Amino acid sequence: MMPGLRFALALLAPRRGALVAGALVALLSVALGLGVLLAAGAAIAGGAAAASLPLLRLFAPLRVAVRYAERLATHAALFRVLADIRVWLFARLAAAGPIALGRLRAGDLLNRMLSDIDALDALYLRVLVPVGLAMLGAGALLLFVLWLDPALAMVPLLLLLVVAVGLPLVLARRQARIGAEVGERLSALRVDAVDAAEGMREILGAGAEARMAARLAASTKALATAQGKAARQNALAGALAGGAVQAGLVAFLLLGAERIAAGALEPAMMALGLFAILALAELLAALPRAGLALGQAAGAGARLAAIAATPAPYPDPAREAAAPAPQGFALEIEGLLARYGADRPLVLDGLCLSIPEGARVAILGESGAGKSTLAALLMRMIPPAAGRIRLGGVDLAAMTGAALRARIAYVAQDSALFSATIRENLLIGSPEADEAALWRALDAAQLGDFVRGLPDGLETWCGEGGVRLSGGQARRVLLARALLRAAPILLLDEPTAGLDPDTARAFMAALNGAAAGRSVILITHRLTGAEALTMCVRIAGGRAEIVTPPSPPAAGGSPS
Amino acid sequence: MAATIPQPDAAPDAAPDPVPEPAQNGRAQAFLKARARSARPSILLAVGFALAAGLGAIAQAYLLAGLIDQALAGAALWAEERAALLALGVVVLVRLECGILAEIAGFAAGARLKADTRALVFERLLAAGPARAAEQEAGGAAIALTDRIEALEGFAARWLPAATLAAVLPLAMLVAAALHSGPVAALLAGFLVLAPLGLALSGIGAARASRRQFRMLERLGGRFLDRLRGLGTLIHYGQAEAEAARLGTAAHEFRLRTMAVLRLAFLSSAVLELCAMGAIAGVAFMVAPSVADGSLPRATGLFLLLLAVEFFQPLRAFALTYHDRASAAGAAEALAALVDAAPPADPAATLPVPDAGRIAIAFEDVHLAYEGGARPALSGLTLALAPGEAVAVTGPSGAGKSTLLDLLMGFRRPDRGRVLANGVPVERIAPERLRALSAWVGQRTHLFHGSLRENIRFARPDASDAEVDRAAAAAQVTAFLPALPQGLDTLLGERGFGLSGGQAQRVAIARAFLKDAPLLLLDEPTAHLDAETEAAVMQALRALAAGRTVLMASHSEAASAALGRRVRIEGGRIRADDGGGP
Repeated sequence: MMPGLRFALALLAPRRGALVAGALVALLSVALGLGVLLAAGAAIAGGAAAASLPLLRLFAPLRVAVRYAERLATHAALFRVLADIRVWLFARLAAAGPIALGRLRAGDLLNRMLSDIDALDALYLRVLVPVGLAMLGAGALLLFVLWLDPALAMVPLLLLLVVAVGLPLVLARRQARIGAEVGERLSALRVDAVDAAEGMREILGAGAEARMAARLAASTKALATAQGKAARQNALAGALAGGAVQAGLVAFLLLGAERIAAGALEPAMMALGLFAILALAELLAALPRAGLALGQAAGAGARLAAIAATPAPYPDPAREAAAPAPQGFALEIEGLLARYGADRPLVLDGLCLSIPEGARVAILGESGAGKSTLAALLMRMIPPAAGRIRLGGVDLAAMTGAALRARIAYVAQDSALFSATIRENLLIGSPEADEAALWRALDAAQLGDFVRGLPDGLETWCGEGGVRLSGGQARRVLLARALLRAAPILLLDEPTAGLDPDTARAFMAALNGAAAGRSVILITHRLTGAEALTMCVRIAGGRAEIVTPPSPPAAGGSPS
Repeated sequence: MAATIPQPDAAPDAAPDPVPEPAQNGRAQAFLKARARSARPSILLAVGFALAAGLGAIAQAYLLAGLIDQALAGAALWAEERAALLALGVVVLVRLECGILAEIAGFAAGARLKADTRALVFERLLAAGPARAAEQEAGGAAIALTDRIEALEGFAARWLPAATLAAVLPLAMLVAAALHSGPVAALLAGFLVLAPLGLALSGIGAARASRRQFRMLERLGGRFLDRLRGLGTLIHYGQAEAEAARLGTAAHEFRLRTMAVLRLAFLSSAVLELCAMGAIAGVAFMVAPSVADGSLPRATGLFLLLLAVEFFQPLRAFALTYHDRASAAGAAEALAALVDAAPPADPAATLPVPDAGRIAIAFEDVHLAYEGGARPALSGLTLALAPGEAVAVTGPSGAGKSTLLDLLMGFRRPDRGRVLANGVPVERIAPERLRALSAWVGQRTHLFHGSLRENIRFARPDASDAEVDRAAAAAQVTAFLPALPQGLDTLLGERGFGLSGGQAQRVAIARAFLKDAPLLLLDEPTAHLDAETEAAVMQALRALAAGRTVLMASHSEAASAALGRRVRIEGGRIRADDGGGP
């Protein structure tokens, strides 16, 4: 729990000024609330109406205003922090590289990461501020009672020890364990829900509706059992703390009455002490419950720390080790070995391939054969286990990622358009490109006429909430974006996946014309028949074999 | 006393989030109400216990006021007021216990609501069928079954009980106050009327503001996720840093706009705070002179003050649950749409299929359009398959190939024309009986979380190990078993081992072998395979096809050629039919 918490706190630290300011306003708000109750109590119980009613008239409206200010101040500070963390995390993930990101996307961890960031607001609003205020309040109460009558100081001291130290210590471990259990059950339910949703055809086909419903019900029940434990634990924590505060109040009454009878304490003073305890009761009673929120924030912190600590799988070479710029853009691959983890089987096992300048190569192979792994190696996303790749005579190990990316324009299999205008989407390829360059790229991708025909042209919004481009059109925007880069090599991973054969052939025809003068590497599980290729390679058993003439001509089918 | 200074809040309370005012959405409200019905006993229990705890608070205030009065007078409490002390102890214990029980009952209500809704949503998802589910956002169904349903909890667990308490408890306190002082009761009643009025007024303003800002906020918030998803592209094109800077600017804007909304939204909690402070101060001003001149006993004055402090607690607790209602309403809106999308079961679908061992299929002048008629898929298609005949349907995307298969599985109904299985219209056959006639292999096979053996047995849970082994052998699953760490017992799916596309297809074929249905429906089963793997899969499929009626949709020439009769559809009707000749 501690490392996660430390990390979460470190994330809040850069804005500690604003956060502390928000907490100070909250402190003022609590003090005014205390003042209101003390003044009202003194007016009725202590017979000090003349002195305290004017104070009440001052404190009550102030308290309303300060409480409003408190809410605004704490939330404003918090939003600053959350915005910072998002940007920081974005930069961190960018440094870790696409492979780490791919892993996050796979398990829908991105969404969980976002809710983890949001969980940090609980750390501030539900833990740091209330606990801080409760501690300050209890401390002030202790000093106040010490000043009133040291004989009574036992009561607030014991109260503080029980609700702020004893109960949280006793409950914390259990709360953390239950929190972890809830998380596990929720993940198990997620697995079942994904099975139920994605496997719907299989379920209906097998008549497995009742079986799957029973599985969902079972994991729902398991989750509810764990959540029920958390709810009981939470309720118990609240009740124990509430009971402790009540016991403290009664003890204060009993002792105080004796002191008054002994003439050692003024009744008015005793009334002040009583109302101070009453005023702080809720703040104190909430302390043990903060444990649950603390556990959640610590869990979120630990997960974010793990993401932040993701090392770049293939760091750039040190400056002095960097080689001179490549001469030309021929690719030479020698004896390439690759695996995902030391205990995993080899994906590529001694792959050799040479791709001369201006070549047009198709790389074929079954899914899982290692095609995309080869792309990751070519893009310097992962290091090879052995062997080397040379670009223009320079080993990729001696090149920086940025230098390499300037020479190979890559369109990944899962590339998608951003929620932005077509222009903004294109400019990601080359931010300095002028209007004419954008249109040249679109024309080369055979999309120029389509975009000219749109009412908003380049300013058309695509993606969510925008115009729906067909699969083929979206692929062409991606191609135009890659073409805008001055890179001499174009690497396309499954560029026609999801397109029907006619659309796929049209896309390939557009590519044939657009990439003149560049090397083109196509990674695909099957050819459309429209590719103009100089070489065709099949990856099997971790090695590349050259298959010419380019695969069976019927592979893509032709219109019958 | 539990309630004095509200802690610096917890969840941003009263209308914190820039969500559209949920009350605007009648459908979501109706859905929530209907769903909460089965949880009603638990909700009533929660309300009952919370009410008991609330009444306990009044008793506690009364006893405490008397004891404080005596203590201030220097009485020997333990000797003289033992009965009151014991009573206070009992009240506090009962009250805390009731508080615990109320929370647990509330949780049970939420759990019940979630469990029932999850079962219902899954049932309706299945009734709507995968064809309709595919029209929804990607992953929407899984999110509906998890996060959306989890978001409903607070509605039954917290919001409903808190709403009832906020309406009832202040009245009980008013009665308690009226027994001691008419004017004080009148004052409290005045603030009680003022509070909801103020809440409503500022709430309306906040809702209008948040609706106005909502779209903008949504776009800015969605941008982060969008750019995160596409971070790979940004890295490859050297744009990650620039985009991080742009995101920072957007986040800054987002914050300014959110705060603009919150400034209004927090007004409603300020109104509540104003009433609470007004009540305390008002009672103090009213009571203090009477206590001072002896016209009102000090104990009574203290009781009235403690009552005033407690008076707005139920309303405050209610305001804190706004968050619960808002997120539940948002989830309910999406869930209601999902539940309503499923067509009701057809009671007339009861006909048996004669001679169900061999199936003849006939499509007669079938018309079918999607999106309420806007996108025609089939327009007058006629096609007949004799028992045991294998037909490959080719044609461009959107020509209606998959629609044919959906019709035969009961996932779609023709707008016009008939689809017959052994002469019986398929919509007159009970869906489960219709689907028992066929085995289906699609483009990508879903592998469930479980072992490979369980995944094959999924098609027929009562199959013996030997039968599963035979199906695995027939589908050539055994060929890749040596590559798996634990053979047939290797865990697959979400957290298991991944199979390659060709291997997963062979699992689907093994399932079909095990199901042993007379009709085989194949939807581009080799679309994602390379030529060599395709040949292997087609070989297994040909073995499976023997003796069955087969309808295969495919782009692939090689796959179609392997089957037999070839039919091409375009524009929703048959354009070419080689009649099974070479």
